[in-house]
Amino acid sequence: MSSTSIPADASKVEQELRHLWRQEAEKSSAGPVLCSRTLNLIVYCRNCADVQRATGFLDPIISNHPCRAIVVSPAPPESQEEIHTEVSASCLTSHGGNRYIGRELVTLAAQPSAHARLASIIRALVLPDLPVFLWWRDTRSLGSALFRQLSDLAERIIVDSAGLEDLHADWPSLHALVQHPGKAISDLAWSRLTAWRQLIAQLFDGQARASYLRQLRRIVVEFGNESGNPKVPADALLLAAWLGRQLGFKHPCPAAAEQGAEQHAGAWELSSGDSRLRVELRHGKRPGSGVTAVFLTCGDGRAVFAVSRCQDGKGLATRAELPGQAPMRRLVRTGDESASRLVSSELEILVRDVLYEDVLRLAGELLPALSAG
Amino acid sequence: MAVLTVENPLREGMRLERTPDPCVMVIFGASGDLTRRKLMPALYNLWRERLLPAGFSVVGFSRTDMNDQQFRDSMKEAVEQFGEQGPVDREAWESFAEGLFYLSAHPGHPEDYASLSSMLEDIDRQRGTNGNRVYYLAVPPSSFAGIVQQLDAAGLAQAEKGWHRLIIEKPFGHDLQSARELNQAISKVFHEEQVYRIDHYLGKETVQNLLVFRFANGIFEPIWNRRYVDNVQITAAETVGVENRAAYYEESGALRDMVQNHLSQVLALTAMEPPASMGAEEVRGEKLKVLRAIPPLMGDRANSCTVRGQYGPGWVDGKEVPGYRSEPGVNPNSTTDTYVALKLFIENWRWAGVPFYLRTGKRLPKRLTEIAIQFRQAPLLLFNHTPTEQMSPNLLVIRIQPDEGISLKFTAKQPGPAMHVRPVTMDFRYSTSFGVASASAYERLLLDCMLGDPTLFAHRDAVEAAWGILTPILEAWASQTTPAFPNYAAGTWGPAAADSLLQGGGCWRKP
Repeated sequence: MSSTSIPADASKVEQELRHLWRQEAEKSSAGPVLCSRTLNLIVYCRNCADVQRATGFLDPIISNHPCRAIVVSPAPPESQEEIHTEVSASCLTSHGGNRYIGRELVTLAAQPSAHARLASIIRALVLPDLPVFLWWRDTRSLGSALFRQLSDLAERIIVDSAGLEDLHADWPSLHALVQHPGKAISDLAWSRLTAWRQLIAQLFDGQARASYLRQLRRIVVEFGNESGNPKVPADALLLAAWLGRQLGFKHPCPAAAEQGAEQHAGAWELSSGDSRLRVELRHGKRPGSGVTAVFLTCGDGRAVFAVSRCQDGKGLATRAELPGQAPMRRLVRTGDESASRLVSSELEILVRDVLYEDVLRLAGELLPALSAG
Repeated sequence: MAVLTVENPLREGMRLERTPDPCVMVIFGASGDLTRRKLMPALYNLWRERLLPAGFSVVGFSRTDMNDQQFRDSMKEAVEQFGEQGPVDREAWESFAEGLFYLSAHPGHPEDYASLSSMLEDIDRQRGTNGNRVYYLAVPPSSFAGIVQQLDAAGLAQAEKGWHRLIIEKPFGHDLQSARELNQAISKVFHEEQVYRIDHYLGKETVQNLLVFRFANGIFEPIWNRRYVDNVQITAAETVGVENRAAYYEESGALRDMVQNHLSQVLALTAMEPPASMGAEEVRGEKLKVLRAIPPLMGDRANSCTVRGQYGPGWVDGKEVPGYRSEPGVNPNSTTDTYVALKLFIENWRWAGVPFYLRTGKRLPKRLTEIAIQFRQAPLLLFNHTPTEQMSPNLLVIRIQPDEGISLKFTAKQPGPAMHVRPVTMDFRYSTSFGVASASAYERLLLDCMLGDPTLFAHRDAVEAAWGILTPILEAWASQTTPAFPNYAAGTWGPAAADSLLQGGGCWRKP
C-alpha cells in the first residue's frame, strides 16, 4: 500500500479515496470488491515518530474494525506546508477469503496555526452515521484547543493514563474528561487492568470464597517501572481505588508507612461502617512496568490471596492460601496487551464505563497521600 | 442472558461478567471422540481466555483404564490435535490440567458412583467447587437413562449444596414416543431447569444474531409476516457423506439427524414472535409456540409435502465419491434417507399461508446453512420492457455457515438511456465487518450451562413438539414403498422431485 500526497482539502481527499477504490476493484480478479467500514477513528499523535508507531498499530486494529482512520500530528518544524495530507486505501482479506475495502487512511500533519482549518477538514472527512472514536496519544495536550475541537466530534475518547508524567498535576485533566456528559472515555491503563481485575474477582467466586472478602484487612499493590522512573504508575493507583470501591470502602485517610517499608509509595486507611481496610502502594522487585503484584490479606493473616505477574512477563499467576487447605495456584496467559489489541477492544464499546469513572474519582481522593516519587 | 455471580462484589460493573461459579464437570464417555474433539478443546480455550474460575475441575468417567496423569496426557494430545488456537502453552496447560481427574468406571456399576461421590467431595475440599456439578453425558443415548438413575441412586443428582446440571447430546429419542420416554426417565431424577439439551447449531454466532437482526432493527419486523413474505427456504447442506457414523446414520437418516433438532430450531427462531424479554423462559416459550402451530403432515400430506432422497455415486468438489450404499458400514440395500425436503405451514396470524421449505442433505454441492426469506413480487410491473424473469422478488438471505452474513437482493436500473433493470445484492459479512473469529459453539454453550443460562438449549416441550411434527412423516414413510433409491447423484442439489414441493412453479435456491 502506498500513500499519495494531495492538497489539504476534504473533497480532494474523498476524490482520491474513490480513485484508490477503483484501482483496487480493477486489480481484483476474484469478483467484486466489497466496501466495509464500521467506524471512524481519529488518532492524534505526539510527533512524526509517533505517527509511525501509531500507523503500525493501526493495521491489526483495522483488520478487526474496518474503518476510516484519520491520523493527525503536529507538522515537523521544517515543514513548509500548513497541512500536509496523505491518503491511502487498501483491501483486506476476510476469514472467508473475500477481498474488501476496509482500510482508508488519511494522514494530516498540521502547523499549530492551522488547527482551526485542520478541525474543519476532519469534520468533513468523518463518515456519516458511523461512530467516531478519538484516540488521543499525547496525554500532555489533553484539554488543548485542538483536543476540545476533535473530542466534540467523538462519541468515545481513548487515552492512556500510563502516559501521565505527573499524576498529581495531570489527574485533573483526566478527571475533567469524565465530567463531560456526552462522552465515553476509555483509558488503556484501565484496560490493562482487566485481566488483573478478572483474576482477583475469580479468587472470591463462590459463597465460601466470597466470605473472605468481609474479612479483608490489608491490600498491597506492588508496581515496577522498568525505565527507572520512581513515580507511581496510574494503573497501580486505579487498581487500589477499584478494590476499595468494589469492597464498599470510602473516606480514605492517609496512613503512615509501616516500619521497615522502604518501598512505600503511599498508604491509606479506608472505612466502611466499623470496618477498616489498609491499602498500600509500594515499589516491587518483580520485573516489568505498572502493577506487578497484588496481595489481599484477611484479618488474622492466615488467608492470603495474591495475583502476580509471571517472571516471563507473559501471564499472571494467582495463589490462594487458606487455613487448612493446600495453596491453590493458577497461571493464566494474558495474551496480547499491545496498544493494537487494547484499542481494538475499546472500539467494540460505545457506552460509558461508569465503573471506571467512579474509580477515577476515588483515585483522585487517594492522590494527596501519594508520594511525589 | 447472562446470569451474574451476585455474591462477589468485585464482579460488579465488569464488562465481562460471564464467569461461572467454581464447579466440577463430570464427563461420562471421557475417552470418546466428542470429549477429545470438542469438549476438551473448548474447555481449555475457555480456561485460557480466563472465562472459567480457578477451581474449575473435570472428572473423566469412562471404562478405559487410565490414571489421572494418563488422562491429562491424553487430553493434552486432544487439545493439540483438535484445538484451533495454535500450540498449547505449557504452563497454562499445567495449571488447567491440575483440575483434571479421571475415574476408570463402568456406567452400570453402582459402586463406581460411590467412588465418584467421594472423589467429588475431595475436589470440593481441595479446589473450592462448593458442590457445583455439571454432568455431561457424552455417551450414546441408550445409556442416558441408566446413568441418570445411577446418579440418583448415589445421591448425586440433587444438590445438598451448590447446583447440579445435566447436559445431554442429541438425538433426543428417535420418535415422539421414545423422546417422551427419555424425558420421563430424566425428569424422574432431574428437574427440567437442571437439564441442558445441547444443539450446537444454537451456539453459532449467526443463529444468535438472528434474534438481534429481527428484534434490534426496526425495519424488518413490520414486513416479517404473511403480508410481505412469499415463502421461506431453510437449507442445511453438507458435502460430506456418512463418514464414520454409518451405524448411527443407518438408524437415523436426514430427517431425524438434522430436521428434528437443528432445522426445527432455526425455523422456530426465524418465525417466532418477539419475546417479552431475552430471558430463557420467554425465548424458549416463543419458539415452542411456533412448533406447536405447525400442523403435522398426516396421511397423504406426508407424501405431497415431503421428498426424501439418497445419494448415488457422483462428484463433489472435484472428487469422485461413492454412493451411500457403497459407504463402509452401510447396508447395500439401505433405504435410509440422506436428503429430505419438507413444506411446512405455521398456522398463526403472522404466517398463515406462507410455506416454509426445509431441506437438508449429504453430498450436496456446497456446505452451507442459510435462511432465505423471499418477499412478494412488486404488485405492478411498471417496467414492461423488462422480461418478467429479470424482475425477481426481493430476497433476504441469512447465511449461518460458512461465511456468516446477510445479503439483500433488490432490483436496480442498469446505467444507460434505456430502462433496463436487473437484480443486485447488498452484502453484509461478519468476517469483513468484525475481524475477530467467534468462539466455538461448544465454548459458548458449555459456558452458558455453567452460568445457568438455558436460553440456547432445547426445552423438553420443544423436543416433543418437533417430534410431534416429524413422527407422522416417519410413520407415513414406513407404511409406503421406499422411493427408488438412490435418486440423486452426489454433488447435485438433491432429487429433482424436490422442486415439486414449491408452489407456483418455483425452484429451490442454488446458493
